[in-house]
Amino acid sequence: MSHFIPQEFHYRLNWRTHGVRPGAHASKTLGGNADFRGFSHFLSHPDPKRIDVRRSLMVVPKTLMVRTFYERNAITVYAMIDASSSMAFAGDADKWKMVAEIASAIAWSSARQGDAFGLLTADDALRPDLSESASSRRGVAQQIYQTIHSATLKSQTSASALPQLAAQLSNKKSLVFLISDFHIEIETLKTTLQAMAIHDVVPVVLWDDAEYENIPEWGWARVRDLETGADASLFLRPQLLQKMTDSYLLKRNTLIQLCRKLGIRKPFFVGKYFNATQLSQHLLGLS
Amino acid sequence: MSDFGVDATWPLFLMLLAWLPLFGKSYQVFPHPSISSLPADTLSIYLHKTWRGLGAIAIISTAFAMAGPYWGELNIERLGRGAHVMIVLDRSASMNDDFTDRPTSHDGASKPDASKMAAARRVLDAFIKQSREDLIGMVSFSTSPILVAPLSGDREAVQAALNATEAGGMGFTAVARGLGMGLDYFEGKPMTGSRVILLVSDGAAHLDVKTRELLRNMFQRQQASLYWIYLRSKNGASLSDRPPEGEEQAYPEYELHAYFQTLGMPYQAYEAENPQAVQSAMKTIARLKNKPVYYKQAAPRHDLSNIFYGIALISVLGLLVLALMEVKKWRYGSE
Amino acid sequence: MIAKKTLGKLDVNGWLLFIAAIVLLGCLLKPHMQLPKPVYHWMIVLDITQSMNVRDYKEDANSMSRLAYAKQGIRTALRRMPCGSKVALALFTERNVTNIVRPLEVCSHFGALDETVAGLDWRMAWAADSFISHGIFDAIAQTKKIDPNMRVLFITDGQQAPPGNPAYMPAFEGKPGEVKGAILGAGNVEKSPIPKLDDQDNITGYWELEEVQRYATFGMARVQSALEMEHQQIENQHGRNAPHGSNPAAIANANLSGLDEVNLQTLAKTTGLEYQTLTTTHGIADAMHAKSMLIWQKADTDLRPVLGFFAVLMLTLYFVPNTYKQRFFQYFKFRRNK
Repeated sequence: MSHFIPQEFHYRLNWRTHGVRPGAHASKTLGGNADFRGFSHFLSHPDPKRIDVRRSLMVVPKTLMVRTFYERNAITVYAMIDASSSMAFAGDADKWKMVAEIASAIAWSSARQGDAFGLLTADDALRPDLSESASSRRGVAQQIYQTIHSATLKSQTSASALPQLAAQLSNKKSLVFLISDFHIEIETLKTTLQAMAIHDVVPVVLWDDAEYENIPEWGWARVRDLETGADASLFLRPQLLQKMTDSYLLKRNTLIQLCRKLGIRKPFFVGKYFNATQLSQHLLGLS
Repeated sequence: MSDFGVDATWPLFLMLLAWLPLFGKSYQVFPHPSISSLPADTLSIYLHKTWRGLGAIAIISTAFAMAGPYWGELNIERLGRGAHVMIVLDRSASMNDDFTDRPTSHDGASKPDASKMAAARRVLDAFIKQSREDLIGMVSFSTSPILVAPLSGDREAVQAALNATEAGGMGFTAVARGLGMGLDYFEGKPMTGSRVILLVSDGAAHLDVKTRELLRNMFQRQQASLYWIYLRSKNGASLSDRPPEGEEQAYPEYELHAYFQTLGMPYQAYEAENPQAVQSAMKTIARLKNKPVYYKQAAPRHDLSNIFYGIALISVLGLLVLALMEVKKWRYGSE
Repeated sequence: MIAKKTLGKLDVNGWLLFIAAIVLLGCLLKPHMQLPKPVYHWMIVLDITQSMNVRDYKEDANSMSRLAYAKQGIRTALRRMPCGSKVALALFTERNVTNIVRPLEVCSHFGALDETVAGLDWRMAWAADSFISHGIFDAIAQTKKIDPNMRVLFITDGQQAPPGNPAYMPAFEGKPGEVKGAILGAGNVEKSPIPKLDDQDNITGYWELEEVQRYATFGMARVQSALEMEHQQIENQHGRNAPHGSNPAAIANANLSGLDEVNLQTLAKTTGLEYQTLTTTHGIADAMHAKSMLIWQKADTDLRPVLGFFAVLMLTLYFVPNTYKQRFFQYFKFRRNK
């Protein structure tokens, strides 16, 4: 095992968990002492340490009031990976390597925040060899980095089993990072996202510049689709390059629109390299 | 009349290789995660189709060119001076005999073969060589006639048939059957020039009334003139000497000569007593038949191979241009 | 400079195309060379005696005479001969062979040869007898005289009429195998009656036993001039065919004709020719294309098909799917590095 240290990012939830394990996130469970909830009658929460004199004097009729708090709980964070053949694309960066990097960063960061981590992978079928049930096991980040790194992708497969993965998720609201190039049929994508409606989904979109932008301005090339094996001819010239950029821009907007419609977080686009700081900012809603 | 053909058929099977450019995936491809995300571009599609098409054309036309296609036997109608001459050559055993005034055999090997056949052959040889615009055919006859060269512009074929008479003659002289076969050869052929039957014989045979009538009809139907080169035998009678009254049967040559004059078609007899006389007779014939005629000449066939090699070359050059246009590295400016 | 730069951009595939283009450009210059070329020189001798009229061949349910079958076979063969080959034609009846066409190149004189063969007819026979051994020996002698390299092809049914007298058969005077060639036996071994034909080739009857000569003669008679023969015919005698013994053995079926394979095989052995039975219309063409009959003759050869083949090879390599090609080139690289 190498001494790979994954990048760390921070995430913050805008919802309260239903968890039971103590952790870092605001929950709906009463208890603890960090997250002020409000005031309550002493009789319903008989804790003399929390008697608030000022509040007790203010209420009419006068009665003993106590402060109540929410507990800070842990959640489960999932990395959900699309292992279709197209993820093998290597342009400016090797997408699959980047998947390993991001997944281990998620595992690492969730461990640092005291959350459990689970890994789920699918291509046209589930990939149990690339899955990890949710746990807070230590060293999982390095381990999955190795596993994913050394895994091979099947050729000419798409990601049609993604909707099935949603059923494997915990039935409690979790934070799910959906790592994919999103070259998925729009129907499959919709079903997947709808199946995960109860969860907090963060789409992580891996788009390489070499797919549409960072290519020769002039020349003739023929490309083969990694998933379908179909060929296309491209007579590269500035107009076509412009069209290609436009086409990707359109796709990007469509994706953003779809996420907004389904009430999902804005997709996080990864290009040449994965930057954890950027992801932190994105998750904090700063980007 | 035109004719299209190929010299060899085996290269045509190479055309099947055109399957490779048409359906094969032999080209360099760059992997792409999703071509459905790329815009459809008509020009690009046509470029690819052109590439496939050029490849197929290059292979097919090279293979076709290798087969040696030609556009041939184009018969060009020309106005010239000539005739359709059917040589009817006597090949009976008596043709092996000498002429009446045999050339002095003392002067050695200069004339080793002085037979009538050799003389006839020499003269006909010259005749064939000089008449560029005639169509010539040949029937040789003895007891029975044999078509040895069909009526055509193929001089060498007539020459080959004429040379074959070196083997010597056999059998006897059946003039009527020889003439009949010669005339038969005009049957059903377009009348594009004056028709001439050139009878070369050293004797004659008695013709019965039925045969005479038949021949006369044939001559008139085919509109053929008759020239008879009579190679007189050592003891043969001259055609101009009228035989004694009542003895015509004993002189079949004279009888035949008299009959030919009643054919109703132009007729000339040349009595050739020696090789020189034969030659002068041929000259007369050459002059006589020199009237303008339309004739068809088989033009040399046009070799079409280079057209197809040319097409193949243009296609390959097109492929080369496309190959030079091809992107060798997908990412711009990398490495 | 530009050319150099452009060529520098070519990869392996590009080079394949470039070579194909250069080769095709070469084709346009019409390269040709004097190269030895396999050709065939044949003297075709066709038996046109009356027994060849026996219709014991079948073609599409129509019966065909031996002569018609042989003619069709010769015409097929002519069409298939490679250019540069030469063919001479000769006919056989009685006891000698008459050369009617001297060797002619088959391609440029195909029309004339084809038409001449088509016009061959049993009526061209100048005598009714057929002494097969004389014919074959004569054919060999004549072929040798015209061109010793010429092969002789003798197509016959082997019918001997009148029957030969073994004591007086001629001896072969040539060296066996000096002139190469083949005897092709036409017809069916089973005997059939010989038809009599009218002007339109309709069968009007068959030769009866009484009409044919059934006795062996004294071999060769002396050569007679036409005049002598004519006189003898008037007197109703035949000095050549009559001088048999006072009480010779009669052959019971001399009016029937079948392929005499045994006799032809014996003749083939004595003369050093090959013997084959003609069973298909391609039989003649096949016999004429036999490897043993091949002659290498320098001829002006068009080199374009060779170059063209090379171009097609280059194009095929170019269009062969990359995986195969890589394997191919890797193999060579591997060999070279080794």
